[in-house]
Amino acid sequence: MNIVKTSEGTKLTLAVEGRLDTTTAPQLEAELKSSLDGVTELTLDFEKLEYLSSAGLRVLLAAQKVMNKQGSMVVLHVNETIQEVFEVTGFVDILTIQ
Amino acid sequence: MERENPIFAENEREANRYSCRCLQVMALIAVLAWLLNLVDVFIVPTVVMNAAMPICIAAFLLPTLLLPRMDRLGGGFKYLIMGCCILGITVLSVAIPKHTVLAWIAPVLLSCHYYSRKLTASALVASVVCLCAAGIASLYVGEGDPNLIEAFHMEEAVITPEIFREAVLFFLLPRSAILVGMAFVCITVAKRTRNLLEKQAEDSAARQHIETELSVANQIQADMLPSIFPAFPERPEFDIYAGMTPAKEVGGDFYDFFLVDDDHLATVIADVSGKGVPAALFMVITKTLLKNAVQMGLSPGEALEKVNNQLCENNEAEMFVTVWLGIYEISSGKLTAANAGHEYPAIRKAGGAFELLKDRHGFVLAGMENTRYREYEVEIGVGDTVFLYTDGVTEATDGTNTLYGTDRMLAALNRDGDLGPEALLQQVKEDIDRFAGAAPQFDDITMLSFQRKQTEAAKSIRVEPILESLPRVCEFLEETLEEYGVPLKVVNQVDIAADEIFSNIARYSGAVRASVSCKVVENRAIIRFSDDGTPYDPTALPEPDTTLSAEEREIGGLGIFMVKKSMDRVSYAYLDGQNTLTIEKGW
Repeated sequence: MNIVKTSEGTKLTLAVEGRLDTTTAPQLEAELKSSLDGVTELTLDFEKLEYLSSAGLRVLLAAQKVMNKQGSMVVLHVNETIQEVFEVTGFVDILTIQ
Repeated sequence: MERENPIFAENEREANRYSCRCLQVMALIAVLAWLLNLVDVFIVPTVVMNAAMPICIAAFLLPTLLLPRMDRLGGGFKYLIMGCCILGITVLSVAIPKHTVLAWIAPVLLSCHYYSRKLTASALVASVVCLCAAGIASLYVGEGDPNLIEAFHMEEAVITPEIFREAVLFFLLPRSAILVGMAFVCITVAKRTRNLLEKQAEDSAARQHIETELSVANQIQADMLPSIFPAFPERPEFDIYAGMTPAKEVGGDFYDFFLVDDDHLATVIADVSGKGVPAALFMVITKTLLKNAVQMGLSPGEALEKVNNQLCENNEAEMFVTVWLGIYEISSGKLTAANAGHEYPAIRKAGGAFELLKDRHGFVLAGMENTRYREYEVEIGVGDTVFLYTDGVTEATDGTNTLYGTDRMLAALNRDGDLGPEALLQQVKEDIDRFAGAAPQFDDITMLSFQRKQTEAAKSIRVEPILESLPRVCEFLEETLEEYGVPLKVVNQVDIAADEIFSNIARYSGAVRASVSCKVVENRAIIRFSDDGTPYDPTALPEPDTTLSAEEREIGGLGIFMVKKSMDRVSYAYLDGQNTLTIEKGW
């Protein structure tokens, strides 16, 4: 998995590529932990993300909880497989998916 | 009233036709009398006869002419018939009063066909009135009645008031009284017949109700037997087929088959003693108890023992049931069975011929409490076939009461070498039909057969149950699935599922060995995860609440929930010291 980070003032965009699963989720978790301070607009671009597992969901949930306190979070370019996962797990109601 | 019941409507039509026929006969007699008078056999004055007879005959025949319009005339037709009949007799009575005394009962008698008191009473009143009128008229114009007046021919008679009084008092009155008396017999007959018909209609409605219920019961009983084939399309390891041809009456045969768990197929064939509703009820109880016992995890012998005692508890009706119960282990081909007084199963080794397996019979179920049932094991190799049946097969009879017997059955089974279960059952059924011909069969013909099939070996890898093995597992699955041309979306979903399942094994199971196998059967990927860790059934986990807000959400249990939602089937079994989780996904 690759994470491409673009920062612009208090706006942060993370483009996640590859797979967000049990082995790679800790990587994103660490990235978020270190970069979220002071961020008010977090954008997660999933254009090149193949799929994500519950480990990935856990990280997204944690990020959403943080951003609920300090700003907003948007998830972009969700493919069909990932959209299904979000729907099945009720994450469609928690995340802002565009 | 008479319109209400279709039985009475139909009866009225019948009665109309019948009355017309009676009137035709009366018309014929009138014609004969007229002819005999013309040739001087009878000596009634010709003028009188020539005037009376045409009117009388026309009156008798009018209803017959109008018969085709009966429907249009409806309920009025019967009054028309009565009217014509009375008119005819009245005219006849005016002409020849002394010969027509008996004829006066005819209208009342005819009315009896309608089973209507009202009609008979109306006919009676009209008859009495006309009888009196005709009697008086005949004094002046008729042939004359020597009982009424002394003169034989009316032209010679002088009707004095005295004669008139005598005629009315001593003749017309008693005749009318007799007519009334006889009519009451007719009214009673009409009433009683009507009541009988009403009761019969009620009885037939009640019987029809019972028959409908019985046929529904029959249907429910038939529907209790699994009858959708192929029964387990997702299980290529075996093929099963069963069928029952019920005899005329509801019987007590049944078969059953179901998966106890992912690796065990239970098959039952049974025959309840007796027939009809009692046997059907007993069948339902036995089938339910057997399935419960087997699903509790009891072995065939234990299940039979338990069900036997349950059935013995309240068996006032002294019913019993013969049962063959087998539990087949799909992965190993091991068949464990026990027999409670049922027919010997027939088994064919691949490439061989069917032979009866003379297993040791225990006593029938519900016969005696605490009966023991001995279990035995048979190895079912790839291609081997098991055939089970009830005595409806072996005891089918032909026209000369010869039994079909096991020899004929085995011959039929072996006729065409290597048939699958469905074709096999068809072949035996056809053979029985040929043998039995038109002879009626008194017992249900029930058969069940299953065959172990060659299955493509699954690819598998052994991996260390640590998180670091996950990429290898995914790689193995992707390679295998792509080899079969599985759609990318399915591959991705399987990958997610593998991620969830394998990370669970790596984190929590405490296993030291794990393996993953993968195979594709038609349009269906079957992946099995095995580990030697602590027994744990993830499918039993409660489903997470997916409607909570971000703050309230817990992430636990979401992984296996996603697996369950994205796969077609997720099943768990603990086999030979291994947690075995199987997922299936079709496309």
